[in-house]
Amino acid sequence: MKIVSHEIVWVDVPLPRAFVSGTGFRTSEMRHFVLKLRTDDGIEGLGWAYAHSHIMLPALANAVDDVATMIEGMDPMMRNAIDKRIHHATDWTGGGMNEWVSAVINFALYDIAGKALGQPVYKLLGGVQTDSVPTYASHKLWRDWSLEDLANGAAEIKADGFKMLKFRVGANEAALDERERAKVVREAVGPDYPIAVDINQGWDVARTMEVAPYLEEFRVHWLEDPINRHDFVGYKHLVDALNIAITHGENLWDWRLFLDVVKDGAVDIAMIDAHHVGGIDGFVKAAAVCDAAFRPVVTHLSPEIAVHLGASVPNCTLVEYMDWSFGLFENTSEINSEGRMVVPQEPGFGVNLNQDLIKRGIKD
Amino acid sequence: MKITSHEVIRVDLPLERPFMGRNTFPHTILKLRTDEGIEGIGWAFVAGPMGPALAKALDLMAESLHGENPLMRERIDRLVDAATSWSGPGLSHYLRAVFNFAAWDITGKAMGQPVWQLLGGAHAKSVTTYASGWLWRDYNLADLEETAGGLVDRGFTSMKFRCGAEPSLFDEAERARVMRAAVGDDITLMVDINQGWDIPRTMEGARHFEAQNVYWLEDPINYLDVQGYSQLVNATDIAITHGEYNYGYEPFGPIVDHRAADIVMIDAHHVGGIDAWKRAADIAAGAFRPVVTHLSPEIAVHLAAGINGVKTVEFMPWSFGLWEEPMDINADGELIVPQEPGLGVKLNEDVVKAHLINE
Repeated sequence: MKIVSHEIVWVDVPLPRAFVSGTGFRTSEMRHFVLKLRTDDGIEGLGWAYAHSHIMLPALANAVDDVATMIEGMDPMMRNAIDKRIHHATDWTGGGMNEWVSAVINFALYDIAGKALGQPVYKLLGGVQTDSVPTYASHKLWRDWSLEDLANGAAEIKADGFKMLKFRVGANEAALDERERAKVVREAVGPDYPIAVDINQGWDVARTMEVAPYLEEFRVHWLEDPINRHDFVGYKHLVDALNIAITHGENLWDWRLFLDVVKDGAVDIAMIDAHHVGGIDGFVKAAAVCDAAFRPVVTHLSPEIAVHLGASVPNCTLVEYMDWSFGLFENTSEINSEGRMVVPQEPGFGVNLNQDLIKRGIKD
Repeated sequence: MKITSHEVIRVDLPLERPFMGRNTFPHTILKLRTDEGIEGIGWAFVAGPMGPALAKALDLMAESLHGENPLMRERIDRLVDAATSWSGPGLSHYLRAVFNFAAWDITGKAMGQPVWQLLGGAHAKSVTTYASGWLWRDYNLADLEETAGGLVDRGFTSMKFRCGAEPSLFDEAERARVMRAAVGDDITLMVDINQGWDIPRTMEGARHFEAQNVYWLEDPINYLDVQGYSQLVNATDIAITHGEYNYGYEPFGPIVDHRAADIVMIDAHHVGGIDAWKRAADIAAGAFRPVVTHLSPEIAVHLAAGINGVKTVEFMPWSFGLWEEPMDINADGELIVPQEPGLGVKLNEDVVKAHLINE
């Protein structure tokens, strides 16, 4: 089998409610591009990426386009050889964008491999769960939501059948206002329901130590990305000092960095983003590094991909439910009656593009 | 003062001698223009698929910076960081660097001062440098000998050669012997491996370089292996030098904290510009580690002339063809410090026109 051609298509995926990112971007659509990578025996594999900021996404698409041309003629089953070739061509610009490029290609290669072998990706990875995986609702309860919206949103999530949720804190000046958000969420879902909180690197160690006791008061299960991604010493301090699971890793753009994090004891739960660590293979390596240190891992965004990791990586305990890409596909990540995410059984990732939306493209 | 317009171009500059299979080097250049008629430039060398990606991102980002005051470098850096944070380290740092260079160029021109002067000023006329654009891995022994001799004749007192491609360590040692014999005892030699080795190979290889009095051993192993570097610093006599592969100034904290470098090499593009370079250098200085520059001598000369404690500037001619007046060394083998306002470089428009990449 050989890679013979590719195509990149742009799509704006409408969001149910306008989203404000941690860095202040407001958008009512999530811009995506999709890579269709085609082989000589007629198989088409999909990879995709998205971003709030429209600065780097076109640059990424440009690089993916060039790299897809560069790997024409190569066997799509030879993922490691392809990855080596990509890294050789992109390493000079460092760990971020090149991992993203590798990831989009890697996804398309896995989709092709699954379709060629007639197996879903999770089985190619050595499946550990067949039907469904634990998930948590992460698609609501943002930092710009009022207390009332927060309470209603949390209750809705529970009523929708989810068994865990995540909300965001970190925008308030007063620590007691942050406490209020945790209180409102806890009261909306009752005493036994697991809740997690995400700060998106908005704090420093001192602020985290100030507010965390309030989060502990309302039995928040994990505290995610409280401080800067580089501050492993700070993370180690928080792991030691706080009675709450310190969770981070989504901002690490190389699977090897997880070794530093777990070696230093700087994380309780490692969050791995498959787009950021170069794809499925990078995720599996990062998870193995964490497993060697007896740390569980959880996925970040892109449930369409993450569900296959949750169903195959032994120490992957949770998949994040995030609806940013749902409009892009005909079949979205389904939640069953037990509040678990249903694992697709179709070959590859088991996703089919929503052709109506693809036709609409992007507004410019 | 306000940024009012911009232009991004790519120029495929011919090389004097083919390098790693290429005859040209693509440079991405940003021209940032202001309402006061001052134009600042920033540039980067990025080959392969990331080159057009960088140009695309620069163009989109520059568009969003129209109306900003170019003297507000920290604010501009925050805006670029916010717009690119989602893409992680690397290309985002190139963006931050290129805008930072252009902003410094504008600042210098607006104030009528060269950038090194605005940084504080440490050396007004010349700075220590070493020849680095020659003596590659694909030079055979006769080539090495002849080129090294030529660099001495040209006035260089220090130069870097590359190893790491030979299957046998005996052959690597032979390259070091040839180099030392070609230049004599008074010339400073450095060697660069570009992450081609692992720890056992480095422990053995270092002894051969030590025998030829090679001053520093650069990038023997992967840059993420901070613990490995710490081990090499402890176990070898040669000065272990690295840092160029790190993006942003933040990783330099753990490097010096782990005593993982004897000499810290900082790349102004990879850390995200002149201000970030200074931060990284301050971190190294706080741990009593000397710093050296990496590539782009047009920028690096301002850092070495402006800040105390910069040991040497890498004389790398890859971009010299872009300018009306290429950089040069004086009779003492030192790099001449520019005296014109800003970065002191002027694009050679004939060259740009002749080698413009049309995309």
